[in-house]
Formats: sequence, C-alpha cells, structure tokens
Amino acid sequence: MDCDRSFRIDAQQLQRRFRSLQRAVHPDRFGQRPPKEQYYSEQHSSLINKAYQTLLNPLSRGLYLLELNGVEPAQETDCDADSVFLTEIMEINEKLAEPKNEDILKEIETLIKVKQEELTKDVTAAFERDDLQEAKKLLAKMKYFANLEDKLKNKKMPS
Amino acid sequence: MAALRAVGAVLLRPGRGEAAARLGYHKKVVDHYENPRNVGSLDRNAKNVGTGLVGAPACGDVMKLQVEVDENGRIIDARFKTFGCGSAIASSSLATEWVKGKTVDEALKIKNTDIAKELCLPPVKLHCSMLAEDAIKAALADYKLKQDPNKEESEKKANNA
Repeated sequence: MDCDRSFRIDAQQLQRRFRSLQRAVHPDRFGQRPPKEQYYSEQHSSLINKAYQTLLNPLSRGLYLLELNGVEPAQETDCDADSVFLTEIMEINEKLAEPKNEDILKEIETLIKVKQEELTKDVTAAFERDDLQEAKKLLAKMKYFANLEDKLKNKKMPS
Repeated sequence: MAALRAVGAVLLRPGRGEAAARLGYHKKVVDHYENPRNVGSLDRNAKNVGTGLVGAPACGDVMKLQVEVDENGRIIDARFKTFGCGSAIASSSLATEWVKGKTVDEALKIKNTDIAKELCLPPVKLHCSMLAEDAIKAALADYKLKQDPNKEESEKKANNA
C-alpha cells in the first residue's frame, strides 16, 4: 500500500492509494477476461480491501505493526492488574446493559470517542519512541473500547 | 467470531439460546448463558466481601466475581457480572455456584481445567475458564487483604525478598 512502516498514517493518501489499486484490479474490469485472470483479480482485490481496513483502523494497524516488529500481541491469559481501568470498563458495560436511553448512549458514545482518540495519540507516541511494550499495553486497552464501541452500535440499531 | 461476540455481548437477553446452540456451544454453556446463576453485585465495601475484577486483553472481556464470607471462613454467597462471550459467562456463572459453601482455602483449589471440563469447553475457549479461575483468586485475595492487611503486606514482602 506504499506506506511507511509507521503508526502515523495519512488517511487521505491511504484512501487514494487504495482506490487506484482497486481501479487496476477490480473484478468488474475482468468480466470478459479468461478465468485465470478473473481469479487473480478477485484474489488481489480482496487482499487490497483487507490491507486497507487493517491500516485504516488504529487498533488493527497497531497490532499489525507489533507483529511486523516481532512482538506478540497481548495473550488471553495476560492479566493486567490495572483495576482502575477494568473498573471503568465494567461501569461503561453496566451502563450499556441498562434499558435503552438515548441521552446515556450519546454520553457513552462521546466518552468512547474521546478515550479512543487519547489512546491513539498515546500509541502513536509509544511507537515513535520505539516503546513496543507500552504500545502493546495501550492497544490492549483499545481493544476493550473497541468492544464497547461494537456493543454501542448494536444497541443503537432499532431492534 | 464476530457473530459469536455479538451473541455474548448482552448479558441476560432471553430467547437467544437457539442461536447460541447453533453456533456450537455445548448445552451446559447454553444453560448457564440462558439462566445465569448468581448474577449481580455484593457490597464491595463490606469487610467480609471480596471482589475480583479481571480482564482478557486479547478479547476485551471483563469479569467481576464477588464472594461473601462468614465468620468461619465459609463462602455463603457469590455473585458475578461478566461482559464477554457465552463461554466466559458460563465459566463465571459456574464458578459462583462452585465456590458457594466452600471455605476460602477450598475455593482456592478450583482449577480452570475443572471448569473447562464441566462445561466441555473447546481448546479455543479454555482462556474463558482461566479468566474465571483468576477472578476467584482475585476475589479471595481481596477478601484476605481486607481481613488482615498487615499480614498480607508482610507476606508480599517476604515473597519479593
């Protein structure tokens, strides 16, 4: 995708690159071509989608960068004893489990957004000073908020 | 995986058992998921209540387990709240059932492998039972700390030395 190996990305440039690659390989352009070419087109198009999504989302981008640097992501069994953080996550979860209330949902949405922006900033700084262990810890926190974000989205859908 | 998480996302939503069973959960897991035992909270500030709060960083699940202990060191009540997949909910639900009536020392002997075996958890879900074991241990450690903070501190120092 023609990106530097860095956590900081230019989202617009990434999108331009993504579009120009898709323009070149998209299956729609290969409808009249031999099956083998169609097959390559599908494979590459799907790979480009995956690469774009991986790089666009800060959490998956960070985890990918850790992987490239040979750092294992947080394991299911690593128990970070940061009880203040876990209490916060627990409380947001509890609020989300309560009956639907638009005002509270808005409040949570804002809170999650602010937290994710803060964490993204911190992860950027950690990667820039090559502190991969700190980046790993921050990305684990991001994962908790990403889950909350999913739950919030589900909750907001009219059931 | 996304579908699995969505099912587990909401604790206590009735009528989702069929979906859970279709996703390949064992019927014991579905039972605990549909009828979780001992959901709720105890007064975390009470001196005879121990609270364990643990999280799984890789999947972003959180689990809270609390025990209430009587003056003889026996666990008379236990509660949990888990936000995670069906297996995590079932593991913590079962954990509260198992610790009730046990002494603190007996409860410390509960192993994640026992929980996993009882619920027939597949290998990819073993970490859910580990989370439950960690939650029991954390709750009991919190209780012990409340009973005798000084002793615990000196033990810690001794361990670190």
